[in-house]
Amino acid sequence: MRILTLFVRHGTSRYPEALPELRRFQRSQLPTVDHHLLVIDNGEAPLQPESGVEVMAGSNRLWEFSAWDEGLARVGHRLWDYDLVHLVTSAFGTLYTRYIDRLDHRLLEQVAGRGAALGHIDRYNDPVELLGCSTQAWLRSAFFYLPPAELATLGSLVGVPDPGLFFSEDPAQPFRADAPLSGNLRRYILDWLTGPGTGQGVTWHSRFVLSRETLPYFRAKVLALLNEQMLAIRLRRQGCALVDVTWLATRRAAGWRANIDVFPDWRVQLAERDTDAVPLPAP
Amino acid sequence: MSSPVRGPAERLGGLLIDLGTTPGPAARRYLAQLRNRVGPELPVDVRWTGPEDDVPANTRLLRGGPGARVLARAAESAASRGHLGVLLTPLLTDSAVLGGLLDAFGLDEMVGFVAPRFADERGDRVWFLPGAAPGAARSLPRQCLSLLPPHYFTTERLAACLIIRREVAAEIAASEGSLESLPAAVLEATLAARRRGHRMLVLNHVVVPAPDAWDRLYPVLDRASSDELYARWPDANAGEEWFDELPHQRREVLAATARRARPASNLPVLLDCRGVPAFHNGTSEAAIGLLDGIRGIGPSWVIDLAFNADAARFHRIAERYPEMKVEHGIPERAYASAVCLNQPWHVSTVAELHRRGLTIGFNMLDTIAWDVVYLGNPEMAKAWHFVAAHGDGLAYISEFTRRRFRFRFPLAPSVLETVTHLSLDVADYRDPALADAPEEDFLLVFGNQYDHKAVAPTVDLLNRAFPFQRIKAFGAPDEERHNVTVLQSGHLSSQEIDRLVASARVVVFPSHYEGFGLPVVRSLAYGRSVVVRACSLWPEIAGLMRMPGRLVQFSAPHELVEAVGKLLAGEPVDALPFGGGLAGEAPPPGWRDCARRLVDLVERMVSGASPERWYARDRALSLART
Repeated sequence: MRILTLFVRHGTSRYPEALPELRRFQRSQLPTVDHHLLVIDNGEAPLQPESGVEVMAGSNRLWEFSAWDEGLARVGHRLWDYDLVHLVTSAFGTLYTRYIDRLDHRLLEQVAGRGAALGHIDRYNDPVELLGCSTQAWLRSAFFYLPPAELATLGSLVGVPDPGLFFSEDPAQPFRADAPLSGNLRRYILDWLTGPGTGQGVTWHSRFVLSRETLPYFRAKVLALLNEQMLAIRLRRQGCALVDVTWLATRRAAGWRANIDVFPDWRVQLAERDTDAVPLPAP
Repeated sequence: MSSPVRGPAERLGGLLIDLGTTPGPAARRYLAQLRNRVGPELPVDVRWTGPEDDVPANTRLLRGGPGARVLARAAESAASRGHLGVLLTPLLTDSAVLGGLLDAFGLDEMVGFVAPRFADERGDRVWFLPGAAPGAARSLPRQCLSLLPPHYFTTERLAACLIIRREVAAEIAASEGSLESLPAAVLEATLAARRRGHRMLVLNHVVVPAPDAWDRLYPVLDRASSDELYARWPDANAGEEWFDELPHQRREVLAATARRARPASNLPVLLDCRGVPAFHNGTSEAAIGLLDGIRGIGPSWVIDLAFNADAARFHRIAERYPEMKVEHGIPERAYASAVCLNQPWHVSTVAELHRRGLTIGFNMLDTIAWDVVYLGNPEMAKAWHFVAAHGDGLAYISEFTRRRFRFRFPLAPSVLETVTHLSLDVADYRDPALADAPEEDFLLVFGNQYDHKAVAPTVDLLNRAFPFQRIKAFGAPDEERHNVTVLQSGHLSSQEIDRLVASARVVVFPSHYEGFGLPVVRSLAYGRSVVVRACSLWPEIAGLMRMPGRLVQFSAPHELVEAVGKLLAGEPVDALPFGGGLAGEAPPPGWRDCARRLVDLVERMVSGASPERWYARDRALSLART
């Protein structure tokens, strides 16, 4: 199996151990995989040559999403030489990470060449609306795998159009009144970035106080969140299933005998996890 | 494609689902699942034969009356809020799909209906649309989805999932249809709307995976409904016939061959070698050298070779390439790429490849025939202009040829290019048995009877300048001269030609115009001193080779005489330096290197197969036929 890894970072001062950790993961959990690693650095500092690593500069226009697009543009038609593309950011080791320990090449074999994306499925407690679409779950964009064909159909990893649609100039009311976001999505975002979280007992590691000074950062972070959620919507739209690593590992642990023909709805997957299951109303 | 933002008017105002006779538990389960996927707010109407008590609270049961009436009621309530979605079978679609469909209404305000593609959820294959798909194929790998354009306009086709534009839904609400079958009523609505100018759009990149069989996803009306409908709408067939003439189905059959990922990544590729004659010449040597190189590389291709039967026999193609399928003539199969190993001489050749290949490419050997006119024809000029405008890829055997071609035939920016060169490896040209052939005291003049080869005037000049020097000449007029032997290349075996080259004291290649100059390379490989007419081709290939011979250029006749005289006298000459274009000690390119560039070009053509380019080519060929 051949995997192209597009690793996005913003310089090396933050998460300095991320790249070594990623390579340790590749060596220890995917030793039989032929890896090609491309680092896209969104930082402002001039790039320094690194031994054994291909590094390119990213524009940081839309954080990791524009960086991945730029990396894919560089790879060009060689994209088709790979069975999977691993899209990962330097923050992959933060928040919930137990799913990463479950990954191995047999799990990846289940999605290679399929209409499926493999990663960690996150969800809100209730459906929200983004750009006119009802949605509740998404694939955590810090660490996930996609087959090249799904990336080619997607075209771009950036799914949110004009950022001007979303934001006001007022830190007290940072979203435009007519922004295409439901009320509960606005609340979830604000609570995640500046408050107590989304009601699932987890808080973000980099919470901040929203002010006129932090408004630009808030906008950029929100766009990254919205792009993450739009990515899940756009993948579902093209018929690409979201597959949860922990659920797939659960199925494997239960002794699967053949390839999984149909990946069930995300609610089923989360409910069937053998660890950190999320019991949701039966779909 | 990022998502445009829909205004409030482009929301779904309601969803009508035909549950038919679905049993109660299955219907309840389905409606609960669907509600999870489409969100809590969307008004849902169902047509169902089951009990009213089994319908969830936020769902309206529409029963009683013909299908047309049910459709009108659903349309009426939806149109007050937005567009109407219709599911003719209990499909598990979701708001992401519905949202993608709704976005299409923003593309053109006269789009009346939007439908997704359907995939077999177990096989990762996307079903073909109904219509005259060539052959029995009914689906393509979803890995080929990116090769399809974002959407097609189609004529009126039933699909298990459709969105009806709000304005059209309002017209349906006001109509008094009487058709009993709901699918028939929907189809009638599409026919009526089309006559008002509202067309149907199929979105290729919005895909609903479903367990259903093809004929449930593309329902066919029962005979009675069909008869009734066609009696009312005499032009109902016109649209279908029109659609069947559209090229979408043909292209999808081709696109289905271009799967570029696991589990089967071997691309079917047709290499058209029908330009190779049943004798040895530059065209045959270039084609066979490239084929040898391709065999050596072993790309992930399934290769069919198209040869004329006599040429295949002469060159023993079947024995030489047992891993490739040799076809006499051009087979009727679909290929990811169809590549002609020489330049096309007629647009019909381009059309033949286009019909078979998702992408097409041509290997341009030279532009001599166009420039000298008398060796070409107007059809050839059309073909070259055509491939420059509509081809997917062009290979050239030298940068010299590429420059000539581009200057004469302006290239569309989308056409991919590569310069493959031909082998410049000594070993590919030198027969070891002749490596130590003794030098003999004769000049060998290479060429043929064509004017640009300039053999006759060169032999005249050399004869006058060196009246006592033996001269052997290919392509010279058969005149009685005491020191000139005229050779007919067609009468000599390749071994005999090699022996002549290997033993010549000096080789003169006076051609004004070449694409590559294989005889020059062969002569240099045997260590000969070769005098050529100055041209940017020679420094180009000299820079890429390391040969034991010497390559000397002349511009004017007196320079030729001077160069030959010095070489005969063993005096120093200004020879072109070898290897300047090679990196360090890198070896010169062999056939594998040349073939690798061709393979890379084809891979790029397939990976970047553009729907726009294919459709433009198809339209242009269609116009050419008319």
